[in-house]
Amino acid sequence: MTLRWYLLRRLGLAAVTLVGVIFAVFFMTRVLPGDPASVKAGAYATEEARAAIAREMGLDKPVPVQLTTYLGNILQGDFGTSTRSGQPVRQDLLSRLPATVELALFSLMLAALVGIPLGVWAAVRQGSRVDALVQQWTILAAALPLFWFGLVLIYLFYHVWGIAPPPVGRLDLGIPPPPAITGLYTVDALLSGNWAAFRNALAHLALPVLALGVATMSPFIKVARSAMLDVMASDYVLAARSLGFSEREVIWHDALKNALIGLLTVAGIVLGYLLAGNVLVETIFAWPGIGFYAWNALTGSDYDAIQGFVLTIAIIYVFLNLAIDVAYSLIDPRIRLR
Amino acid sequence: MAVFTPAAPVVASPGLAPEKAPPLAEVANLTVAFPSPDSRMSAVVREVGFSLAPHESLALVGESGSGKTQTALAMLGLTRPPGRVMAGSVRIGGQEIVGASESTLRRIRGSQAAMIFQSPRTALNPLKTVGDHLSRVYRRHSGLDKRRAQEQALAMLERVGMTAPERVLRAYPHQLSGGMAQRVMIGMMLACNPCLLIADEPTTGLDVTIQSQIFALIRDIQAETGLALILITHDLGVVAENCDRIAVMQRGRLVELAPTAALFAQARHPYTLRLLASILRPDQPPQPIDLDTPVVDEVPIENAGHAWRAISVDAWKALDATRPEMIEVAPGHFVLCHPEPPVEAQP
Ligand SMILES: Nc1ncnc2c1ncn2[C@@H]1O[C@H](COP(=O)(O)OP(=O)(O)OP(=O)(O)O)[C@@H](O)[C@H]1O
Ligand SMILES: [Mg+2]
Repeated sequence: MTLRWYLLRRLGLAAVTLVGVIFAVFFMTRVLPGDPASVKAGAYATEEARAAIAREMGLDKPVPVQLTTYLGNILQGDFGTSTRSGQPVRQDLLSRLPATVELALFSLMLAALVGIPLGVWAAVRQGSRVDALVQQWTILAAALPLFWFGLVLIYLFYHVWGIAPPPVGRLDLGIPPPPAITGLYTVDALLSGNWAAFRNALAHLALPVLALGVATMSPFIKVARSAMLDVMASDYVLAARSLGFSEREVIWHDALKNALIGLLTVAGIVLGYLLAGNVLVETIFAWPGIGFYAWNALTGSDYDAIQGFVLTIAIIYVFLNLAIDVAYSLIDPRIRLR
Repeated sequence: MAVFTPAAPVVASPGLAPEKAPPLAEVANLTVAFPSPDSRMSAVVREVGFSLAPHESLALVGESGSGKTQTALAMLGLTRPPGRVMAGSVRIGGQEIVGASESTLRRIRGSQAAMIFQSPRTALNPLKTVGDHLSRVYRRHSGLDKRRAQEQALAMLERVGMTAPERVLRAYPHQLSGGMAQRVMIGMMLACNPCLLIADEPTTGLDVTIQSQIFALIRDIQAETGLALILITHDLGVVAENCDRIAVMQRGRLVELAPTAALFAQARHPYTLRLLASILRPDQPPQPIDLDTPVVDEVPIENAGHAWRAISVDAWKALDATRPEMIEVAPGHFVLCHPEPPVEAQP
């Protein structure tokens, strides 16, 4: 009952946030200096040509009318048309999103599955050599320039050792993509039993995932370490020790779950960051994701595409936050049973 | 078995002197230190020694920060790094604790000596139910299977006087009141069946009626099981009711140790006098403890023909050269004293 209310309230809050974002995006593009029509018309267009384009874009109408049209379009899932591709923005984004999502999920897994145990290990051995090494690695991983690191990976694994496929796209040219079910090639290949495509998709993912996974590992290590230290210093861990439970039992039974709960937030932030698409990594690996698309839209003043991208990211963030809150409420009895 | 009388009157209970039975716990010269800001180790517990007979109850009193909790933790080998036991020995049931291996400590904790804490609600794992907490102890200490352990957990909740035990069994710590949480902690401790209970301010933050309920529960358990008790508290009223002897600590030092009646009747150490003066004023409304204004600075003490001075630890600075000693001024009544200068033996 209380939980249901909590979730309903959270859902309402998410809806309000979304509406806010939609309005913000609308007003940003109107209020900011730079008139979309003149950009679209080009630097040497005549005033008539500009006015014609403005009329075509509906920019001559009063703002409330523009807003209504804009809202109506968005509700119908119409994000406008990209000037660059000539395609509907929605279609562009939807066709690129799975590439980014697949990259993001694998990178998140790498960062979390390596980062969290490292952080916990460092905490349990606080002050030891292991701890010092892990902390140095945290700094190094966070400071590694992504662009350079990506290139080094390609140089070593593709050029020197030849164990990685060419850093171009999600599959080798000769391999047809698996039937689109989720859009994630690895998952679709598994679902359709296409082992060749699965292996090849994984091989293509390996280097960009390594680059992004390492780049996003530090927050997991840091938060896991400090949360674990906090929990190990908590009263209930002391109480468990005082009742004769072994250190190992205390770590597994008392400390770990309590420490890991806070990592949900980190996972949410990192996933949000990854899902926004990473221009550098997508560029280096010619990865057909939305980061690369957004970069092109920005440099090409492709307004509808930028708007569509910002809205998509905002929607992803809002739902991600909602999902994290729901996860907390399922895991943590203090929220579940208030 | 020594019988504990609830609400012990202010009368000496000589049968309980530690010399009469082999001690259950023996603390000698215990020194615990933490690194100070300049990273040198500075002692927070200093040369503390006392012993405890089976079934006896000892109160540990003293101002905040005087080292009561650190003494208790060191007794279970729970001193947390960077803190360290620098010197001394703790024996529980004949087994040395200081420097003992983790597996030895694990055998003693819970089954020989258990501890309950100042803030019962934070001493329970927020993600586990009360049933999880209790049945886990039964599984570990009695090797029961899951179902039997749950049954025992329920029985234990009844034993510690919990109303609606079935519901409490499924409750999470945040759903418990402080008093209920402390009952759960007591239940967990009892499930280990120890000989010694160290209760570190077990009723801080609980309201007065709950406080007396918890103490009544501890007294009942003591009468039932013959459990020895070290009670850490600020409340001398509670001490008078519950404890055979009192140990007074100041600045990490044990400054006076005496049977309850003797301490209330003839405390000798200036710090104890101050402590008593600030509390025992039946003619006046209770006053906030003002430990900074000394009643007296030092008390001259005559013992076996030697002259000594009991001096507040605060006023020691000039006396660093002389080592204080615990002087037995009456049977079982010890006071921390400096030799009266001039003295032959200079360091
Ligand atoms: N982790 C730590 N690091 C440094 N000093 C510490 C640490 N824990 C305790 N101390 C110091 O040890 C001294 C004794 O602390 P302790 O907790 O034993 O006091 P206490 O008598 O139990 O006080 P209270 O009545 O407030 O509980 C204090 O001066 C405190 O500052
Ligand atoms: Mg304390």
